[in-house]
Formats: sequence, structure tokens, C-alpha cells
Amino acid sequence: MSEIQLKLDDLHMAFGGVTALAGVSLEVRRGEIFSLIGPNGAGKTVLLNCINGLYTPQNGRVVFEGEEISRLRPFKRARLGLARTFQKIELFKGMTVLDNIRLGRHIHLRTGLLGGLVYVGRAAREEVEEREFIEREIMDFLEIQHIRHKIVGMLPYGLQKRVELGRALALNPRLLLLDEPMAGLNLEEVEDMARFILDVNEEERWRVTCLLVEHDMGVVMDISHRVAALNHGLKIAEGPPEAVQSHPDVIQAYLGEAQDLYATRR
Amino acid sequence: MPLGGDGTLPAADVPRDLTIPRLFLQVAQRHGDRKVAMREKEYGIWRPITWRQYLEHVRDLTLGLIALGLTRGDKVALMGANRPEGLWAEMATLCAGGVAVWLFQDCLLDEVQYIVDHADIRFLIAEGQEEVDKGLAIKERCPKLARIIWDDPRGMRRYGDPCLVGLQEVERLGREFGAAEPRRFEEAVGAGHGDEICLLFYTSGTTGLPKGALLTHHNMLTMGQNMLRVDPCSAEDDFVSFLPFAWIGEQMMSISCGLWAGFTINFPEGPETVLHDFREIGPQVMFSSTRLYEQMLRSVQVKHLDATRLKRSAFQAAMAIGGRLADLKFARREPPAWLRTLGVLADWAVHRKLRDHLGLSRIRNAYTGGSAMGPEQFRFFHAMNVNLKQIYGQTEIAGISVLHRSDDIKPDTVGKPIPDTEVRISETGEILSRSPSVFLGYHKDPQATAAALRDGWLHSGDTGFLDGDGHLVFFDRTKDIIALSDGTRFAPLYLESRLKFSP
Repeated sequence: MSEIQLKLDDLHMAFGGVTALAGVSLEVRRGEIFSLIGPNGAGKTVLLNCINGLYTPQNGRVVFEGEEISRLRPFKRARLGLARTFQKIELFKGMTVLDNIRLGRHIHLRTGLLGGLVYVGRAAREEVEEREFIEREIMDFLEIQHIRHKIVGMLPYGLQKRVELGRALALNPRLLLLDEPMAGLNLEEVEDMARFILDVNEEERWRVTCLLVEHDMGVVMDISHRVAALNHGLKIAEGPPEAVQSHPDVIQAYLGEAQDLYATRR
Repeated sequence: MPLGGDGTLPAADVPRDLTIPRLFLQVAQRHGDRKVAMREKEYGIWRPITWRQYLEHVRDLTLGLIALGLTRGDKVALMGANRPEGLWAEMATLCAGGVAVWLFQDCLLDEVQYIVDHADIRFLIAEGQEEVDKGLAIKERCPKLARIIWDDPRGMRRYGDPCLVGLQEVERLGREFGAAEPRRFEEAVGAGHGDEICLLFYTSGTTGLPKGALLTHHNMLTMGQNMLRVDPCSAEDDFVSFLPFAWIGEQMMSISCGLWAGFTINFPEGPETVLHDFREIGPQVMFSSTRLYEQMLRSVQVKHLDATRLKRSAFQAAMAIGGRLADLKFARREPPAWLRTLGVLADWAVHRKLRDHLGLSRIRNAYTGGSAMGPEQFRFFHAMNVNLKQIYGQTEIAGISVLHRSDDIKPDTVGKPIPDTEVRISETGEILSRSPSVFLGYHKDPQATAAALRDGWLHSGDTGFLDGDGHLVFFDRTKDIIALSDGTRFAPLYLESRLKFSP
């Protein structure tokens, strides 16, 4: 549990005159669920974007499993075992559920375009193996067999969120970045999603470290091992969930939003 | 004597000492690896299980249950979805001499507790975490419950209660036990008698507490056989199992008819995929409540409104032709040659494709039971050449007692009694029936038993009458019948079902 898997060192990120991150340092340990909280505009999503490479921070380093990845392109980071989901679903809406998840599996395919065209021997074998992985480990696990061949854009929001998690898992990640996985879900869907995150984190099969950005405090307090709070691009607190929740600076940051801090659907 | 299978009619009488396990053993040994007993769609693929594999699982589970302390006559509760494991566990319970009690998956905690306590359940076989949770929650209050057996490992990693044991572990125990006592399984199967109780069914307790109907091996076997004497099935047929096992209709198809005919039982991937999986299998025989047929009809009506004008008029024309043919069929009159020709054309152009879309392309007999179906809805299926038949029966008579014959279908009736079954109407209009399949009585309820069973006649609590052709017309539950101020009595259900097609 104590081994550091992801280390952020003094990250700075500004857009014109707006400072989104003003020197954030964090350490995420292997095997934990680490949550980031903070009011709107605190810099949580920017931080995730810096980790998976959508943004390049102007200053500071991102170290993943001992290797500095701050300057790597996003697809290279994905190959190292970083996967993420988005606050506003970023699936291919015109494609089927299966095709979306297959896409997440793409980096594990070794056959190229030519092999795929001929489709004999290794290419065909690999396709069958990968399909089996998807059916066993993802479709069955996330209970989305019944929508396998449905077009993603036609599905209800809660199921789309689940498909997005499925695509991230298809990567077989070692670190999963989850940007507000509960946003827009009803109570039952929230419970399902929390169970999936716990399973991914705890099941021997997965053992994935999770970095979670979430507003639903009930969920954050229930499932996180450690929590950090951001405000105006600065880390204002870090520690076990209860300690962060009762930290005076955190309450201060949410001042006027006290309702929000304790907002939960239970 | 050939026992089912091979498409031959089963012999007319069932030996009194024949039990379900004994028949199962004969059928499984006869088919071995040559025939598929069941299929389950899992991970998107249909996976076959042959009769030999079915027998092996049942043997291991039977011995495992005996090793865990199951003795003859013990009650075993089962809770779960339609999966091969559910059927294995039920068959293993019967093989070990136990009595299977299926509970509906959505049973509330209070009901589960009442049934587990009332039936003196010792073993609970639960599919997954949800069912295990129910079992653990009532365990304190049901001291007789000794073991909870679970099957699906999802979410079960933190469960450490010593009464829990996995289904695979039970099979492993059974294999060990079988190695030490290789004849034990055959002995257990041979020990039973047809008059022993095999199933205990709790009827829904909408009024008061649920009552447990006790059914013997002989009840189940005679019922299945008499039904197959009307509509034979062969070992080549497919059946899709998707209604709850806790419903007698599913038991009568999967257990009674399934063993006699030896057809393949197919289990869909999940409740959401039933219609899709159903179409992939295209079964020859199906039995469902009215709801599924209504759902099919609705989907056709909706899609027809969305179709192009050409398709819409083709559909309407074909339905008009099919409808007239169906009316003549119901009236048992020969259609004129020109109408028959049009009928062939309509079938080729429209009905064939419609049946394929609904998964009914190979259907030989489709049964509907449970609640009344409107005559217009019934006519719709016959118009597109689906041989839909009404059946009537209740748990207390092991499933069904009355059934339409293929050449004698009337949309207003539920048909004629199956062989070995007598039906008559009492002075008060109650439907009474008598057959070898009539149950033993209600568990621990002599009062209700005395009310339902009088001189061997089963008093159904339903009102109806027999028409001039000997068809039974089912009105409604007697207690639902309402009298007008002038004394005229009418059945709301009878009227409602006749208005279902009205917009």
C-alpha cells in the first residue's frame, strides 16, 4: 500500500491570466482510492488533464511508477497503464457499445493494418482472444451484455457512463483516472458505480489504483482511502476522509457552499 | 417401455414407483454425450451442456448435499434466475431425496422468512450476493436453516459466515464422497417412490399468508405425460426457459415435459435479453404468460405504424386474409380454395417474416396461461399462422388440466381437459377437477386442504362453465365476481380481456 505509484511535483498551469494550478504536489500510493475534492473551478479536472497528457503543465513534473512522463504524448501514457473517464461522456456516440470498448483494447493488439486485412493466423486468433477478454472481464463484470450491439448515443446516460468505464478498463490500466463518475446518475446508478469502482480496486483480478474527482461527498467519504482538497489551484488539505472533511480550510473554501460539501444523495 | 424422447408418445400410464430422479437417470444415460440437455448463453455465446455433463453435475451436487448432511425428506429452498445451475441444484435435491422449494427472486424479506420457517428449510441454495444477503438476514430468526449455498462469486469476497459454502465446493465435496462410496448416487436415486413429495410450491399470498402446495413425483410425471399425449415433443425440440422456476408453468416444462421429451432447454443471457435470445433459438414449443404475447403484439403494432406505406398496406392485407382464415379455423369450417391460395401468398409475403422477427419461425405449439387473453389478441397470432393455445390449470394440479387441441381452438375458451383428467362444474359454478396430478394438500394447513380437496375433487376457487362442445370457459376467480343490484353476476376479468384490443 505504501509504494508511491504517481507523484505530482509542483505542477503549474495557467491559461492567460487564469491560474488553474499554482504549484500542486501529490502522491498517490499503489492500490488506493484517492479522491480529489474542491469547489467548482478549483483545478481538479485540469490536474487530471495534466496527468494523462491532454495538457502539458508549464512547470513541474509528473512521475508515474518512477518514470517521468510530463512530456509524453497521451497515447504513450495510455500504453504505460493510465486510463481515464470524462466528466462529460466522451464516447463515440454513433458506434456500438462493443466497438467503443474494442477501441479501448486497441493498444493491446499487435497485428497491424495489413494483418487485419488478410485476417488469418495471428490476426484472427488475437481478435478472438481480445473479444473473449472483453466479454468475460468487461461486459459480464459491468453487466452490459444486453446493450452489446446498441448504438451508444441511444442509451440512457447512466449506461453510457458505465460503457465509458468499460472502455477505460479495456486498456487493462494500472491507474484509473475517474472524472466525476457519479455526476448525473440517480441513486441506484450511483450505488452500482460505487460498487464497480470498489470491485476494480479490490478484486484480485484488477487491483487498479483509482484517482477520483467527485462532488458526491457521501461516495467520497465511503470509498476513499485518502482525500485531498484543492482550491484556487492550491492543495489546502490532504489526509484520511474524515480529517479532510472537518479541516477548517476546507470548510472555509466551501463557505457559502456548506450545503454542497455535505451534499449527498443518501 | 420407452420413457419419452425419440418423438414417440409416452406410454399411457406412469408406474407408481417411478420418480423424477429415476427418469432423469434413464434419460441422461440414454442420451449421454450425443445430445445437448441445455444451453446457456454466456459471454455472448451459446454454450452447450450435454446430458452426460448434466448428470455429472447433478451426481456431484447430490453427493455433496448428502455429505453436508442432507437427509431424505429435508426441504431445500432455491432462489435464483433461470440458469443451468438452478436446475442442477433442484435435480440434485430431488436425487438426494429432498424436497425442492423455489422462491421468487423478488420475494421480500418477510416472505422469505415466513416460507423458510414454515417449510422447515435446512438448506438455502442462493444464486448470488443479493439472495445470500436475504438468507443471512433471516438466519437468526430461522434456527433450522443450517447452510446457505451460493453460486455466483461476484461481490462475495468479504463474506466469511461459516454457514456459507460455494456450489463448486459442494461439487468438490461430492466428488470426494463419490470416490469413497461409488454406489451411493445410484442408491439415493433408487430409494425414492412416486408417492413421495418432490416439490413444495408457495402460492402468492396476496390474500393472507402464502400456502404451500405439496406435489409428488407422480403428480408431476403424470401431468407432463398427459400433456405430451396431446402435443408430443421430441428430443430434437428446443425450449427457452425464461420464466421464474418458482412458477409451476416453468417447472412443468423444464422438469416434467423436459424429462419425458428430452428436449433442449435454453437459458437466455439475462432478463433484458430474453426476446433477442429467444429469436436466436427459435424454439418449437413455448409456454408463457399472456404478457409476453401482448408485448410481441404491441411491438408489431408500433413498428407497423413506422413502416412505409407499401409495407403497411401489405401487412394490413395479409392480416385481413389471415384473420378470415383464422375465423374459419375457429369455426371449424373449410376455407374456399381462393382464400387458401391467398393465405399461402400472405404467409409467403408477410407472415413468414413477421414470425421470424418474433422468434416464432419454428414454433409448433405456443401456450399461454396465467391470465386471460383477449379474443382479438388471440386471433392476431392465428392470423399469422402461429398455433397459439390457451391452457388452464393451477399449482394444485401440478400445472395444467385443460388445453386447446390443435384442430379445435376457440378463442373464447381454454380448451378441453387433458387425458386422465375430469372437469366438472359445481352447483355454485366452481370449476372442479380430478386427475392423478391433483396435489396432496397444503403444508401444515389441514383446514385449507379440506376446503380445496373434497372426495378427490380439486376445488379451484374459479368460476366458469362448460360449453356445448365440452370446452371449458374460464370466467374469473370466484371471489372477484361482482353481482349487480338486480342480481346479475358478471366477471370483470372476462369483460376486461374482451376490451383489450379496443384503443
